[in-house]
Amino acid sequence: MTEARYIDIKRFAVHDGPGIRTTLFLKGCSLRCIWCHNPESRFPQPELAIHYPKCTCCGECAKVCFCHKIINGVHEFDRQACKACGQCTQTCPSGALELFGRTITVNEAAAKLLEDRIFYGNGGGITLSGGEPLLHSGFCTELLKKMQDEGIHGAVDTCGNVPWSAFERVLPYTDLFLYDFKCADAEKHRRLTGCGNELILENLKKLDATRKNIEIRMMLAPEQNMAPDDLQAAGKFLAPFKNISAIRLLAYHSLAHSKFRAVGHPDTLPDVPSPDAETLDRAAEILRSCGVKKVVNSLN
Amino acid sequence: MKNYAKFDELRPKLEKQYENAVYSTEDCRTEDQLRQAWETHKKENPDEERILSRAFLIALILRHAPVVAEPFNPFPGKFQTFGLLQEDLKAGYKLAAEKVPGVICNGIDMDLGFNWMVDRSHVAPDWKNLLTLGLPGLIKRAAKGTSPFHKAVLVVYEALAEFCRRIAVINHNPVYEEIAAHAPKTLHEAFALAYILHDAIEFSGEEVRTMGRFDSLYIDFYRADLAAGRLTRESAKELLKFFWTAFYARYQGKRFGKNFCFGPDINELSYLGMETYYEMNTVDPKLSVLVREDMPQDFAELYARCIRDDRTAIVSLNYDVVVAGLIRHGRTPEDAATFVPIGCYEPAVAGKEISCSGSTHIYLPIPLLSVINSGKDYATFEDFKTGYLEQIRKISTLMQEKQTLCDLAWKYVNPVPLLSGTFDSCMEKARDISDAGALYNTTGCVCSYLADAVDSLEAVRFLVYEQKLCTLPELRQILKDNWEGHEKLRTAVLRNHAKWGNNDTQVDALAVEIASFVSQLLFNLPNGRGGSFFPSLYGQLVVERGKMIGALPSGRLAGEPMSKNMDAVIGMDRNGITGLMNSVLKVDMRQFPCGTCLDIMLHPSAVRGDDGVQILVSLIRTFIAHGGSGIQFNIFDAAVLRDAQIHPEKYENLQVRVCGWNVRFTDLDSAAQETFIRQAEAIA
Ligand code: SF4
Ligand code: SF4
Ligand code: SF4
Repeated sequence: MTEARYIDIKRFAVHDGPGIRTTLFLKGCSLRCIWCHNPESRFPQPELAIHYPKCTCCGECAKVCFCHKIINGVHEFDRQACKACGQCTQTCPSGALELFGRTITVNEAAAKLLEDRIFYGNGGGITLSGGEPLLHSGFCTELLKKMQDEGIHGAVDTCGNVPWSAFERVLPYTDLFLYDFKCADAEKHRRLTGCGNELILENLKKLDATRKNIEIRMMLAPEQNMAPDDLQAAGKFLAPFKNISAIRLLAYHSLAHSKFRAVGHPDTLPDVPSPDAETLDRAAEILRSCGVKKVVNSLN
Repeated sequence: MKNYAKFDELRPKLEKQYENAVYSTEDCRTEDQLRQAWETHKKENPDEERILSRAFLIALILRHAPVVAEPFNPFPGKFQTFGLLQEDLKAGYKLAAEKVPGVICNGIDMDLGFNWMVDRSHVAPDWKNLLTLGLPGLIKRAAKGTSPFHKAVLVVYEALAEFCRRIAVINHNPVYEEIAAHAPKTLHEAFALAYILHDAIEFSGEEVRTMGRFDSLYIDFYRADLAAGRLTRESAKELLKFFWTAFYARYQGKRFGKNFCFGPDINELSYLGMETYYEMNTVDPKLSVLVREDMPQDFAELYARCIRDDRTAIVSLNYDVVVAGLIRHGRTPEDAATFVPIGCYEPAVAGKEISCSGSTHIYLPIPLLSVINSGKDYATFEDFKTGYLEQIRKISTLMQEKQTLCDLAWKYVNPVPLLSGTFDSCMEKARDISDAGALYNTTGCVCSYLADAVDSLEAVRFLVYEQKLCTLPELRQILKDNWEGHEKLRTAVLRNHAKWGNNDTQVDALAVEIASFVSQLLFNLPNGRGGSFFPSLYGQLVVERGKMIGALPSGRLAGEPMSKNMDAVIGMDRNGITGLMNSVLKVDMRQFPCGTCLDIMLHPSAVRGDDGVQILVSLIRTFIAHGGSGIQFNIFDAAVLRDAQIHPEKYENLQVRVCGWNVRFTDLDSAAQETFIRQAEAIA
């Protein structure tokens, strides 16, 4: 049975595509965005997260595993030694320990997603997200097919940085692609995500040619990717596409600090304010002036 | 319509009209004179039937008490009662104690877990009759009878007509002259008549809990006014604002709120009313919307938008499910179809049923404690559960005994001819509402705190029978200790993910079993008014009652609030609202003809924008389409988030939208939480 590692199943997801949805977040990503909102989803392997604000330093976890130590009222954790077996998560009375990257089979995932099927009725459905779900294209294909057989709308939330073959596999079973667009300039893209955008832009063109419904998602962060130049370049690139139903502008928030800390990754979140609704409105105007239609401000 | 100043300008004044009321001194008697008249009457008629003496007093006040009838107010008519009606109500209770030996008119037994009372707060007149017959019609009808009841009705309605004429003079308002003289013809007259009767009934000691189906009751008046050029759509909205504010003014939004019902047939007035409600942004009146699958999408969006934008005093009820439940419990299909909620969520056949829906309560977790405290041993969980259900049966019998006496006492406590005179059945039977005059004389039994009961039952299974972490006697001690010294065990229970409200097969089956059991138990259980008990499934007064309830096996500490309505215990619906709704939908709501309700809490970001309105509509429609009944919403605000910062353990299910994703509020660090709080404050 095909399986994949996942980090979470989000029910009543109302911002991952139309209507009420359930979103499955798979683990592993091919980009390393500095503003990553889900740092726990980037590495393919399982990781233990410690939600420090919840930890009371009671020491229960230290009793079951030497990786945890409470020294002078501080919770010290030896991540190098941790095998991410998840045992300690059972012992924590305050729910401060969480294992990201448990495996799930297609059947298990399908069963979970179907639990909320009655809510998908009015235009909702399921969304596969991540990380980058298409790194698990086999799993996604099987799962989306099952959903399609059940008459459920399936969306894929992708950063686009995967071989085209991955898209090809899921294409017949996907109703909507939520496609991240970080910035048009390749160099800048490399700086912001650790990777150029050639493949991403190429895939987007190919996807557009398949006539699949695409919604572009642009997360805008001040001083990073929302200068007028950035927006104009993006607008010019996106204007000619035929099957983009909407370009949704999302506002960057530096709210993931605690998550970086929880999984022990170096915190790369840029220290810039979150754009407000008017700022996004102005960005939307610039995009429209380049001939892009249907720009949606997610803050309105 | 007479010309009034703009509603917006008058609103502050109207809202404070009771505080600043200046009563007229002309055309009325002083307190002393009124008291004297009342004393003389009692002396001269020592053996008068209760209903006649009550009618005399009401009439005396309507005819001669000082009134306020400010000319700026299209719905004037406050009157001064000098506490006379209240005093006489006390006398009524005294009389009841003499006439019905052993009666306790308002009792509670928190050891066994139930209460009972003479419920004077769940009635409504037959609005349709009132508006069609008008006061003269009602008077004519009463004059045909010869019974003391008919006489009482005649006395109060003639006095009410006189009261209208008094206002007409002081207020220089022909509307009041008109409604004294004939059935209402215009929207203003119809509103004025409904308001006058409502107020008079309330002053006579019964709480009118619904103003009926707003859109269908008033549509003909509205259409006629439009056709005749008496009103425009805008001036009708203005009139409605005045009308609704009259209700607000009475309690300033500090009581139950006056219910106006919308649907299930949606017409122009439904839209007008809902728009007006949005514009007013008030806590009182409150609305209930009877939802059927064919509800037009634009109307669904209109009222969902109210809810989304903080006008959350709206409950949606599933029309088809309620009707089916009423039919199952002996109402004819034609009668069931006309129901209105005669309380927060409690359906009753309009103009034919008095539900007394708040008469009795069974506090479901308490019998569980009784079983644990009994010292009896139960070999298996099944045995234990049976013991629990049997204990519920036991208290239901006691409850029936106590309540039956209350049912018999009502007619001595407070006959209500002002109300009964609108009921066809009362006029035919020559009996007051309080004396089983309605066609359907129901006694409500509110089965409360389901989640606490279910989670506790499940905890007993977990602790005593499955994991064997403690024995029943040990559990008894633990609860006596209020879990002190047993923190680890408590954590184990709290962390045990089997809780009501998470779409968990095993736990939900327990809930379904308890619900079916109590519903069966009460099915056709006779009350003291020739009707029967009707169960409902919701829980209120969660803080007040919580203070009276000891520690529970669920891990709840003594004194903590109880679970609300059909909700999970606070913080225990860890799978979010879809998990909660999936659990709740397993209960057959038709088993609860006296109502059910689920409360959903949402973060404003989940319902932002036009998409957010659609999300709300989807939630409501999904719930309704799958057999749910009452559902209402809370959109969290900053104050709640602030509390969540201090008590994160209570808000584990609160999710927030960060950007293109959601996180649990409690997983954010405090700086991030602060950001959200500021955002929430900005929305407010
Ligand atoms: S694509 Fe998404 S998951 Fe991957 S690194 Fe960027 S923000 Fe994180
Ligand atoms: S996940 Fe396993 S190896 Fe890692 S700290 Fe916990 S118990 Fe130890
Ligand atoms: S068990 Fe949990 S609360 Fe206790 S020290 Fe470990 S992580 Fe912290």
